[in-house]
Amino acid sequence: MEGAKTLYKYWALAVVGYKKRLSYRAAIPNLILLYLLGYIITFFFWGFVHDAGDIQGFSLSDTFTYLFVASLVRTFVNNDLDRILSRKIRQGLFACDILLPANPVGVSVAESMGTTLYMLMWGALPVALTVGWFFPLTRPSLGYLMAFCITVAVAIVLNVQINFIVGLISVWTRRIDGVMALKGIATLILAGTLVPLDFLPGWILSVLKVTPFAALSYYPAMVFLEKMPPQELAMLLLLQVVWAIVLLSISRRVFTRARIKLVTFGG
Amino acid sequence: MKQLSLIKASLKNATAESFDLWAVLFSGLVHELIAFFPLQIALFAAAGNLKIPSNDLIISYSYTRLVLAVYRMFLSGIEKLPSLVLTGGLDVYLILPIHWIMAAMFSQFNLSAIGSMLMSIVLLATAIGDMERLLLLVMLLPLSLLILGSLFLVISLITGFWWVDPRNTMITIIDRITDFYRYPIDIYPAIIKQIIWLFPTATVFYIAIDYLRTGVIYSSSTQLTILTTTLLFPVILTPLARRRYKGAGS
Repeated sequence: MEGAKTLYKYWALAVVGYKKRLSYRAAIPNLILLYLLGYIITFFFWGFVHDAGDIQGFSLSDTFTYLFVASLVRTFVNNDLDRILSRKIRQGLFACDILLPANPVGVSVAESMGTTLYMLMWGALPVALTVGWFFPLTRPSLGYLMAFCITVAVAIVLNVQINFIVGLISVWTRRIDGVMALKGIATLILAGTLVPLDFLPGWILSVLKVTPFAALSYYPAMVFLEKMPPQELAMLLLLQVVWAIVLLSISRRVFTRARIKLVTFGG
Repeated sequence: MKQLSLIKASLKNATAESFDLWAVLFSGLVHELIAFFPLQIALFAAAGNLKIPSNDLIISYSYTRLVLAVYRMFLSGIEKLPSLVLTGGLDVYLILPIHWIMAAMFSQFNLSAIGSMLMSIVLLATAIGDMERLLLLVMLLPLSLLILGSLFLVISLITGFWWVDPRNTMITIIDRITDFYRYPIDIYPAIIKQIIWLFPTATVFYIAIDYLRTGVIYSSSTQLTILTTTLLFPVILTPLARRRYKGAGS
């Protein structure tokens, strides 16, 4: 019962975060149009490249499906928790969260989950339906689709941890725009959002596969393409869970140090 | 001199936090390397079997990135106009002893664009190889910037003073459309080519890119008309926008 009440508190905060994003509804068609324009460019560019033949066993349909799924997953997995935390710390609003009858960190996480929900409902889903209608996408079987959903759920958890650690850096510096940009780059290239990691030299792929970044976009996209045998799929899910635990431990330590350093209105 | 003082103040603000400054510069360079990554992989993977020569692909890509980098670095302050109008912050720019549009333009520097600028210049120099054509970049670049800046200024004025859009979503859409110019227009099907040509920025970008590729300028009277109209619009709209603005105190 207590657990349900606690969950309801955070759910209410997530809804508040969702409604904040929804306040400017004119941005929704523009958001969808932006994504569609990007996918049109991607499709014709890789179509031009694939005129020369398949690349590392990827056909045009495979490459486009991979890039589409990887970037779409990144859209709603990549919440703005780091930005929210940074703003609250710099403006002293973190003190208000401490006064709420909820964990102050949980408050920021719940708000960022509202953003995730917004991007899923108004960004990812409409774009997925439109692109799926007009472009040649590879569709997975039901088993792989369920595995894809699980990898995405774990990717969300991992991304929250990474963004939380980055957001807490605001306690030590006044601005973290550069750090957030570097994190964005890491999640873009190391997660295989820009180019399938399989297009890279083998040794780079082997190194990137064991990092938590590959779990953000690369693994969900490869599962969607059914390019992961079941044994490898089980291993990668285990790896994702291990990384989630490691990052949780790191974020707790960083938060403990940040709490000592943090000074808000009133001391 | 007044503009220089404003530029110095803006630069000082942008470089205030040294750790973040280095992170911004580094991330800008890395971001540009990453943006080039798909093209690099495509050129490597296709192993010279592409229908368009790799030098032409690199010229298209790097010229577009160079123009956008210079715009982002020096002129992107005009995109703040809609939010300044909505919050009444434009009042501060109106009392400055320089034109309010120039004040908005020079109030912001995006230093992360330095990496993009440098890398694009290196790529262009490598791909063109002809010093004479490379030097004419000095003429082509300001022309492209003028058209791009005019278009963005017109959109910022309309979305700030008439159709209120504080998040400037139209600018982000036009920005995304400029991504089409990264690659030669021949990779797109006919219908998309026709849509792309509707935008004045396409005209000036592809004229410049064609010149850098072939050494010949292709243009028509229709294209010149589109370009001239794009330049006239801000001149007409600016005083109308100023008259429309009521200020934060009214």
